[in-house]
Amino acid sequence: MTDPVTNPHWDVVVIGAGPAGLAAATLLAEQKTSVLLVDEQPEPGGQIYRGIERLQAGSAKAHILGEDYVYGADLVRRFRSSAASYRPETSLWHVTPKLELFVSRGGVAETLQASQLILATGAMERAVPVAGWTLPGVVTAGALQILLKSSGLVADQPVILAGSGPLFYLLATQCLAAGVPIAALLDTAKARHMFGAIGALPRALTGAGPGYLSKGVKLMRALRQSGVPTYRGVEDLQILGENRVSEVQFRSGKRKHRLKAGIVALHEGVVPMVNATRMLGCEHTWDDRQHAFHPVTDTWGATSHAGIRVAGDAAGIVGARGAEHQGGLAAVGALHDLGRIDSARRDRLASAEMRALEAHMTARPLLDRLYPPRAEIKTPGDDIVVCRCENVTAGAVRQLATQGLGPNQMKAALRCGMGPCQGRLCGDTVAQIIADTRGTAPRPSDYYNIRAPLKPVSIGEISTLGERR
Amino acid sequence: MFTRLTQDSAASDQTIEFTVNDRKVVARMGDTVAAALLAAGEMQFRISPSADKPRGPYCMMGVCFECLVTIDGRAGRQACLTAVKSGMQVIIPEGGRND
Amino acid sequence: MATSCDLLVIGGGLIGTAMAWGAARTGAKVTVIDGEDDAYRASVGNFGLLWTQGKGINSPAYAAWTRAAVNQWPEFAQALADISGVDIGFQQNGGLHFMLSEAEAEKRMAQLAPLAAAKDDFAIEFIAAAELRRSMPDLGPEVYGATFCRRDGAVNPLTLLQALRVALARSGVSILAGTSVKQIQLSGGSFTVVAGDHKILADKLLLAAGLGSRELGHQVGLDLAVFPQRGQLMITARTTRLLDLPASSVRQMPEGTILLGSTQENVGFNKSIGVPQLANIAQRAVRIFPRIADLDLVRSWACLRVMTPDGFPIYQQSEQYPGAFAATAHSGVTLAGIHALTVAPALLSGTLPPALDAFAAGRFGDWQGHAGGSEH
Repeated sequence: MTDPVTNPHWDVVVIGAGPAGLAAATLLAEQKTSVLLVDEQPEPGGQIYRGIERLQAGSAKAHILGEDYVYGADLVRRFRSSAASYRPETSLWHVTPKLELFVSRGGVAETLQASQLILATGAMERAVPVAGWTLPGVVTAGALQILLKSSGLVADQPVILAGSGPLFYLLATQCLAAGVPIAALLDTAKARHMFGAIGALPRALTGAGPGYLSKGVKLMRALRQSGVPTYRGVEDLQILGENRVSEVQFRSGKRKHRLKAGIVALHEGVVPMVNATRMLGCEHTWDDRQHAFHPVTDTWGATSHAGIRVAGDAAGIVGARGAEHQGGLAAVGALHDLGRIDSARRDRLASAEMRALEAHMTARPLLDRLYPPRAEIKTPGDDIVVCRCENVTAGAVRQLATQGLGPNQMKAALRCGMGPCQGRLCGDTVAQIIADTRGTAPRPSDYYNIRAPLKPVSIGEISTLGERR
Repeated sequence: MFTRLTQDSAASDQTIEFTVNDRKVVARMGDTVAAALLAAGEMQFRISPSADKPRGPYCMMGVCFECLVTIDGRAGRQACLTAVKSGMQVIIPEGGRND
Repeated sequence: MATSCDLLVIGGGLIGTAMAWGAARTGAKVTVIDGEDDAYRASVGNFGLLWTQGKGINSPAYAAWTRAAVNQWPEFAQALADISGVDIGFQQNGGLHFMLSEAEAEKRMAQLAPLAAAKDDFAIEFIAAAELRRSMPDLGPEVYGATFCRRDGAVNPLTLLQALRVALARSGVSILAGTSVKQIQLSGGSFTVVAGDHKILADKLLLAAGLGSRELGHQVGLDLAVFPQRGQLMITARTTRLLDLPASSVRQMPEGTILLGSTQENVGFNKSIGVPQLANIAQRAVRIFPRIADLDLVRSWACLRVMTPDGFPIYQQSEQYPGAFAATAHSGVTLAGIHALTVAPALLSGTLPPALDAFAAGRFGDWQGHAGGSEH
């Protein structure tokens, strides 16, 4: 085992090289702060701007992914030209409230000490527990996009896209542009949510809202005009197959349908990555509009724990551009906490970021109300596997919830949340089943206790971190 | 299964060779092991020990741990977070091919 | 909502559920109050060992009690399997303790000399590394040998708890989960316990609330000298077979994961993990089985053992409020069978077995808390 690198001290460590992390690290470096950006990917950009540095102007990929993707190139360039330190392919597997960080890079353990920590760990796609979602060939819509962004790979056999929400429609049009054979689009959005969303429309027409809305209208129009068979109000989705997906079955209105499928891509919105803030014991809250937990943060991204900030989607879904400005605000907040700037300078540095953030957030409430996850996803039927790692069904969880058990007792009794994904894919579902059984909204305590490791680390690596050498 | 965009950037045209269960496979520089396996027609990456059923990549971003494969003798590697390298030896359950 | 029962057990861990099931098997009406989801719960943070090796070297009473408990396990395991249908992974083919140097071995064999000399069923044997390697080819070069006791064994502690819960449900025991006891009152020779929205009238009361028993004990005239001792564990990814027998610091579960442990730390009510301690556990594990170095950590865990100043259990009936009992031990797995089959029926009869006289709460005098225990 290679000896670990021990305890270099940083003013600020930023976790995650998406828009929030890049913006935060760049701003901090420009303000002469010692800042380290840690990211598990080989290249900066996060999920949204993945592979952006290898993108060639005018290439097919640039055309397919569109201008909102290409935008990220500048953000990455600015970061690269800043004095910020950068550790790619490095994962954070443990962090203490005293901001000792334990990271792993290429099989070598390293410990870091930070005065301030900015978690910009982003979002993940909401779990879509439906019958057959564990079959090979069933992926998230985001997975298809990742294959396109980082490897220029597109499916060449019938793809069924099932879901709803802005990212879903964007990916559908990207698939069309890439020539992916879309067999059918199963739109799970409900027309009746239009009425509930009307109240959020006036605000969505301010700031950058009209830009988002007109893009959305264009996407929907492109999809309509594409001639792809589209089914609306889709419910009771089941994915069928023996050792891999072969068909889907669903209801649209009163009619049942059954279609052949080579690949099924699911998407029902994105949710914050909360494992790090959960492990740190930061205060969390359930967001009724976004149907997910997020850490409680203030304007500066500050959590309930001193020195720990969260920026971007990890603090509640704000989108790429909102995340970038939150990254800036978290950086400014950290500078202030470090004593590098006074309150007046902080507020000056922040005012443009705040205005821009506000402008990018105007359409968010409308989108949240238009595309809430449907009930069959939030609290699936008894037969549906909710914990993929340990193969635990919603029914098993529901039975123990009825007996008054909480998520951590369920973990011990059912092994749900005990597998390698550490409950990332079942934590929210288990919380919603418990809450539904109780007849209330999910409470912060309905989520698993999260302990190390946040990311894989070998016993050999850990063995290098002892007192005895 | 999956195919390359014909006019993708020149940088990723650089090919490398690795093996899947002793079968030689060509990948592109910059591919993750998961992307390279999918491009090679593999879809079943592992057998879930709890369900005893085949599983394949789901999220492609390190969250789901469904793409665990054996890489250079080490079991349980996340194929979607590991960059493919020349000469890498990847093992997935036999019978996992779908072409 | 007021209900009544013969026995009310406060605590839904391994001690509480084993006692409750033992009582219910005799026909008693039993209720169990289990705590909140995030209670300390020592029952879900252990190796699941049925262990006699090294226990009670200086306490014949404890050695005898542990051995009696181990002897009752097969009957208990069978009865539990019959009623619950849950596989608890019971095995009793012996257990190992690895030693990494001659000095380590000499020290341990000297400590265990009285047990090694006994030549009875529970005798400790020394097995040299060469012999161990025949069945465990992956053993590291540093391994000098192991002590072995053929009566030791193991279960899966999580499915054991689950089996007990199922057994309780099938025996008509009501479990009030997610509930904390607010108040215990004595009225006319029986107890009234207020917990959450529930009010329970009980003829007899058993405190099996682990670290929570200290506070509750004061309400029924019991001064219980218990304090938390942190133990940290790691669980690795599944791997091919390394060893079949449970060992004191390395245990491969039937599904292939490996449990690595443990520490004994007096750090108060602090359930967080510490990397330096995990690293020490990892170092030793890798020296025993070098192949473990390549395995990923799947979970780390810290639990609080319910410790007493001399390390032995406490079984006590309140003198002030007869009918109120307390039971606490950090060997809830090893003692599960004897708790269910022997202690529970005795408790219902109103008198603890004489074998438990040595484990009275009063043996610690006026204990004021553990010096090493500090809040973090």
